[in-house]
Amino acid sequence: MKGNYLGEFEELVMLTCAYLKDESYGINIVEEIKSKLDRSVRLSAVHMTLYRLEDKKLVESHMGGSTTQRGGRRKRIFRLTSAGMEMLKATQRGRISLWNQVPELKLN
Amino acid sequence: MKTPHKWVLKLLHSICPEELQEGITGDLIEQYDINRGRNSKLIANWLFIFNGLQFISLSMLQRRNQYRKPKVTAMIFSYLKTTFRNIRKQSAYYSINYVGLAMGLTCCALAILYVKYELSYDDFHQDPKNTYRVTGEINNRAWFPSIQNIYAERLMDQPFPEVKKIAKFRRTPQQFAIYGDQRFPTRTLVTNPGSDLFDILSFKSLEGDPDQMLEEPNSVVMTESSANALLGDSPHLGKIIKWDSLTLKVSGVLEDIPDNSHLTFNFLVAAEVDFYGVFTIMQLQEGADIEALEDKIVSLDIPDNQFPIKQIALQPIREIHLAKPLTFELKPPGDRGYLLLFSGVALFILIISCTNYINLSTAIYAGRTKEVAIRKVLGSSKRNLNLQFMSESVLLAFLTLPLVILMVELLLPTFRNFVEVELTNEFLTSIPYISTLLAITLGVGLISGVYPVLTMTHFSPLKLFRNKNFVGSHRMSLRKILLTLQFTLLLFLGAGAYFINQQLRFIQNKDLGIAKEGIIKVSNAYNIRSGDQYSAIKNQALSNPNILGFTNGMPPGTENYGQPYQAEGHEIKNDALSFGTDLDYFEVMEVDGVSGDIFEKGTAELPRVSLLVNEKFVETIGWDNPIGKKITFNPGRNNQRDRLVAGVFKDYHTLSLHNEVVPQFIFVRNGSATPSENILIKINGQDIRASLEAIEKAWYGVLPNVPIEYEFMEEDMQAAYAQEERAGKLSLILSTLAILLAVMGLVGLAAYMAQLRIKEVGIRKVLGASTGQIMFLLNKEFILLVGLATLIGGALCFYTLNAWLETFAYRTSINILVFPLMGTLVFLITFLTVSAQSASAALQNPIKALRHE
Repeated sequence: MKGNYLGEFEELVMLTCAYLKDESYGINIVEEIKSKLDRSVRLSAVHMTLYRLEDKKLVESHMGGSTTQRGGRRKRIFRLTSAGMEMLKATQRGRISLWNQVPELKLN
Repeated sequence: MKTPHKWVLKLLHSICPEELQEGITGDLIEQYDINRGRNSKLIANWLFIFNGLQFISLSMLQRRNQYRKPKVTAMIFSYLKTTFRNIRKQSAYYSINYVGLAMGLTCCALAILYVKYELSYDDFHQDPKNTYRVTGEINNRAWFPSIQNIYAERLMDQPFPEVKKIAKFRRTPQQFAIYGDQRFPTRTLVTNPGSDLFDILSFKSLEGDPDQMLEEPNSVVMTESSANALLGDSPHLGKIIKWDSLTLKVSGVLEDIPDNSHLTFNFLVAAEVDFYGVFTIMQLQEGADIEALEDKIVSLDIPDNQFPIKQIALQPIREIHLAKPLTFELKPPGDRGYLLLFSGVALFILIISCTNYINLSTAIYAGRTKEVAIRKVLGSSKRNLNLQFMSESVLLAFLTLPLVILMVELLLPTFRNFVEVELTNEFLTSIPYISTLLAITLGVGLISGVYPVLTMTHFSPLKLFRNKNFVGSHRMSLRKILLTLQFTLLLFLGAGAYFINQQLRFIQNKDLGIAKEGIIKVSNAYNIRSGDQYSAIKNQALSNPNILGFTNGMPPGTENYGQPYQAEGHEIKNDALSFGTDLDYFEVMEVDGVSGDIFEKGTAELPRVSLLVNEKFVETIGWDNPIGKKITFNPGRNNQRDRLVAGVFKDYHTLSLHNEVVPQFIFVRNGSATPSENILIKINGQDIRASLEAIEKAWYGVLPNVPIEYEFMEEDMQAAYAQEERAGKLSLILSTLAILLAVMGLVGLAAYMAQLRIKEVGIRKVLGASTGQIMFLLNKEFILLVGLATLIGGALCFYTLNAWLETFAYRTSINILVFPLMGTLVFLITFLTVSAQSASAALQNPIKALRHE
């Protein structure tokens, strides 16, 4: 079924989102990907992906408290749903079984 | 935080869904800060624009609708919840509001039933739009609903092209129909065999084919109830009935004639008999020129001895019921003025209950300013608030409907008796009626929702929070206007009721100059065929000690169209009433003689017919000594007669008090003659039953086959004021209802106002105001309003009452003092209501009032 697997970018965003926990909002995800993977991603792309994932009920969001930064605007903070976590686990299982087929790449 | 390029944010604001904006712009600004730390300001600015514009995409636009939708339904639940919480919190006010509005709507619903019924007369026929009745002005004096048979025959023999169908029928005196040993009094119409009557008028048939019913000579069509009463069990077709001198065969049975028809009969005979005056009904071609046809009928060539008609009017069949009454109409017509009055007053009541509803709602809303303020702060848009208040007031209005329908159902029997019309509760069955009621309710709901929408939702939340009662904070607020309107209507109805009933009492107590009580009127004296028969009945009746007097003549209350006369030395006139009787009339009816030997010596030495005139006639004609003067009746015609005045009698009121006393002639016959008018019998008021039995015995001894029709003359005279009587009762009922409604409204409003001003009252008390001063403070506003209403309502009432009283020639005077008195009364009611409510506020310990917050 279509939509039963994650795209590469979606997977990336969800993983980042998962470990950023309460600090997982748009620009933080962008910066995190930049620092960890040295990969420059667009803010708008991250946002749109998050919204799409929210439509699929893989992540959920709420408004954080307001700060004096950002002109007093609140952050929209994203969190994985249990369905999202299951999806990540399934993706991981699939990848590992593939990685393990290749002796040079096999994980211990 | 400084933000470059605000326009980017504005652009995003207009494109991104509201729910996402905050997160997006926040992120953008944070990114800008990060970029400022890494790059030069210029590059950071450019990156800001670049990153911002990337959010503008088709998928973002598509998202806009996605977020809004669920929110509206969620809000409706929220609105409903607050509505019901408010109702629970303010249940007393809401129930006053509810009952008041339900009463107003019930009045309105009853009025709709009545008005629609009155307008529905004769609209069930085949083609009511093109069906007309021929009426004519005969004798130059009176319009008759019937015309001479010769006209009908001409119209039927050589029909004009625009006449599609035509039928005629005549009315006959009441007679018994006889079947075996059963007798049944009939209201009979007679038509010619082969008549097209049922091609034009549609009555539902139970037995027989309407097209064939009237074909055979000597056949009769009966209505269901009369057939069952006379003939026993159905089927009735083919049964043989004796009626008058005819032997008739039943050829059809109809359902009883509906009440909303101008026709009323239970026996329709098709036979070759003599027709004189006939009712003529025509169905015309679509779009026929009515006036041209009227002219054509007038110009028919009719011989002079058949009295050609000078003027003809074609009367649409649906308008017969509410038209100006014609002479000798088939059924007493309805009254358009009364219909207007009734619907007008129902509208008044509806307005009063609407103003109540609006006033109370706004008072309730006034206590909800905080709710509105909080909703506004939380970001409710003006549209949402409007929707909330509108839907709430409409919902509450609709909640009254079950009660309205129930009340209509309960009140309908009483109401039916009152208006004397067969009404059914159409609001349970008929779609148009239901939708009319729904529309009115919706209208009331919308109107009362408009006020809070207009006032509350455009205030800034700050102002609303300050808890200043904004209701009535303007010098001339809507609430004050509505209260004034309500008081005005109250005063109008109250004073109106007072004067209508005063005039009714005036009429009832006025000395008419003629006996009113204890007189029995036999109205079918025309069945007496000879003077001998009359004398026989009279002597038989007078032999009974309960019969105190026996005469004949025109009783007061009957209309009569006199004959042209020429008094000695004057021109021809036709302005006097006249009838013939015997000399006993003056004794029985207690009419006094003024001059003339006839009153002392009797008629023995006088010619066969002597002429008496009333004082009014003498006064108009200006004779000093009228006795012996000559008056010529029907001058220039073949029935011209000369009569000498033999006496003068005192004026008495023969027409209703709408009219002045008119000149009057009485012809006194010497010896026995066929009575030309009603028989009038004075009876022993102590034993009415025995008196009536004696009358019946005397009548049936001479005329066994003719049912006697009699009534108390008093009832008949009262009938002339039936409309006023009903208007009087109605005005009493409705003004009571209006006062009740107004008091209900005031109770709620005053209590609420006092509650809103409770802190003001508390502070004033602390500063030393007495209870009396506080009561005055809370009542002050109402004094002014009642004063204003007294002026307006008094003026309006004075004007309309004057117009109404103008229709009476004899009327009570309007005492201007009644208006301020009424105003005081209205104020007193207001004062008591308001004081009762505000007393608790005024007497309360100020600490309680000030302790809040």
